[in-house]
Amino acid sequence: MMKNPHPPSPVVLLVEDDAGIRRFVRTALESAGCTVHETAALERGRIELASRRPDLLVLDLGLPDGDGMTLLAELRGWSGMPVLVLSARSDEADKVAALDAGADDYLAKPFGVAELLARLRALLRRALRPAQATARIGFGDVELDLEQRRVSRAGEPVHLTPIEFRLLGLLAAAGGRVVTQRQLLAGAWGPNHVEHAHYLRVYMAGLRRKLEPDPRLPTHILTEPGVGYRLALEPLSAARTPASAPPAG
Amino acid sequence: MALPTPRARLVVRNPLLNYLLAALAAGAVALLGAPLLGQFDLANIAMLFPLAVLFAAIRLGRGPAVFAAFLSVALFDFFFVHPHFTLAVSDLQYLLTFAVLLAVALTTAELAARLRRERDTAEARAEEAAQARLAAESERQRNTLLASLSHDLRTPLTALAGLAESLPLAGPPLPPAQAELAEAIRTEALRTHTLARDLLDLARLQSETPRLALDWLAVDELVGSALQARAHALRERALTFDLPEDLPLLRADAVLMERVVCNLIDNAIAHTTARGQIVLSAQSGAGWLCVSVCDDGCGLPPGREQAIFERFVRAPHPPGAAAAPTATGDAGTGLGLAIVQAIMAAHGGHVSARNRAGGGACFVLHLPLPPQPERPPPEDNGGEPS
Repeated sequence: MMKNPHPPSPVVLLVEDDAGIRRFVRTALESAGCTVHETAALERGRIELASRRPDLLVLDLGLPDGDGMTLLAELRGWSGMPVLVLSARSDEADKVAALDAGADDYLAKPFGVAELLARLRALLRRALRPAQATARIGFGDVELDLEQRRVSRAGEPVHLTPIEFRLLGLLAAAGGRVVTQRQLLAGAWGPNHVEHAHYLRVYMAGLRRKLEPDPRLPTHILTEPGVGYRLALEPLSAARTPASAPPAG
Repeated sequence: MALPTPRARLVVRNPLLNYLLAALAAGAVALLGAPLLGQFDLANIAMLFPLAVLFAAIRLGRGPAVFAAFLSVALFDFFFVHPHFTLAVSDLQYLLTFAVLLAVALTTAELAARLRRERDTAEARAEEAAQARLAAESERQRNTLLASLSHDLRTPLTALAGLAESLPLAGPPLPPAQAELAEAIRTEALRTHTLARDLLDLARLQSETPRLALDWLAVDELVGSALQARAHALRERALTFDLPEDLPLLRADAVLMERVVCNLIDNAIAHTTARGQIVLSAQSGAGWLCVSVCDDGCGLPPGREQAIFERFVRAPHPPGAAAAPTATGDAGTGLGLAIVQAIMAAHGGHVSARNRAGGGACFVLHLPLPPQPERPPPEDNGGEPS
């Protein structure tokens, strides 16, 4: 829950052309203690981004006056602020394109309030706590020390190959967000191997065998079909169960 | 002889008539040449006969043209070469004339016939190309329409579900009855979305060239992510796996294949009791890979094993079985298995269903296996990474 937001409430800019979606996203974000500014068009969004300097941008891709991807590309030229993309497109290729272009996470419509708030919290938490501070990461009975390059499971050291460790490091650095196949391939094997998705199949199977309690029913190293992989740091049951009570904050 | 094709318009008549026309053409040439006898050199008169052959070749086809060629030689010999009105030849040099005449006539027949064939195929091709262009254009329009429909339905339904869900957040907590109504609105909006999505997906998949984002997929990973997506609905059901290690990789659309496995799992959940058993297994053979999802539920109506793949057909649910509630709030739309079938067909595979001997149903996915990609380069695995 949002125990440590910015002492002043986080400022979120919402760029979305559908009034109904704007309305409920605003209600949800305000209930979570955010200050929300909203706009329905790309041009206005550009101005608000520059003048308000929000802590987080929630961006719809299909806007009446242009593609949200343009705004995302411009923003990445001058800011690393977290961006959550809303997509009504069912095509995974669009999500991958948005993630590769610098979006931090995406939500496909229809999405629920619980899902929205969970993603928002994860993004804000990450923005508050830079990656350097999280050299030690734990999930399940696995402990990962990025600095010492050591992995242990239930206290016992686990041997990972250099590439396995690099892949795990990339997933861990994303802090629960999806990392696209292209990003993983480029990070672990280099930019010449971004088309070799089958390498990932082999290596993820290896990582799961070494780190998952039941590799056939993975609970930490998760596949996002058509997009990539993510490392679930929290127990899944909590992440998946829709929260019925409004979050504190 | 050349069979009349629909494209060769003038040859569609009775073939015998074509031969008769060819004979008439040769006869007409002979008649035309008759007054010239005595004034023109015989060799020059002989040159008229290939005209009849050319006509026959162009208008009547190859067979009548060959017939006209031989008839021309015979007519030339009979009427023009001394002695007249016999096939006898007084001067052997005319044999050379006959040979040349026949050669020219036959070559003409062959060349003209080939020309005609090529014209016909070119016309056929042009027509095919025009039809393909038309099909591609209507296909493009259809896909654009489906995409915009999908977008236009998704947006208001997202708003509807989200507004209902945020109702309790907007003010003081709702009384339980109203909270229940708000939740019902949300569920119905999501159900409408699922139905619209399934219908549009089915329409898209059944287009002639469904777009597939092909990728290398590992079967165990595919099964794992589908089970993960359905973890909430699976809760107490007993899962059994029979997935050999080192199964070959599939070449398929990851999102669609997850959909296939999810739909089969939903189906198994819908037709088993809360503590039912679901068995997931896979085998690979020469060029094929099979993935099976079996359950110990009520099984398929005997004799209707294929009918269940039709749209909106549902097998009866067993008493006490859940009505397919899933993690996403999907209730069955009756399209799940039709979508499975369409996705398998789009991948060049198929799905079959049968009843198990011990009770329950088995769905088997059959997919073609492509040649496997090269393995990742071996790593220097000598020491600890440091």
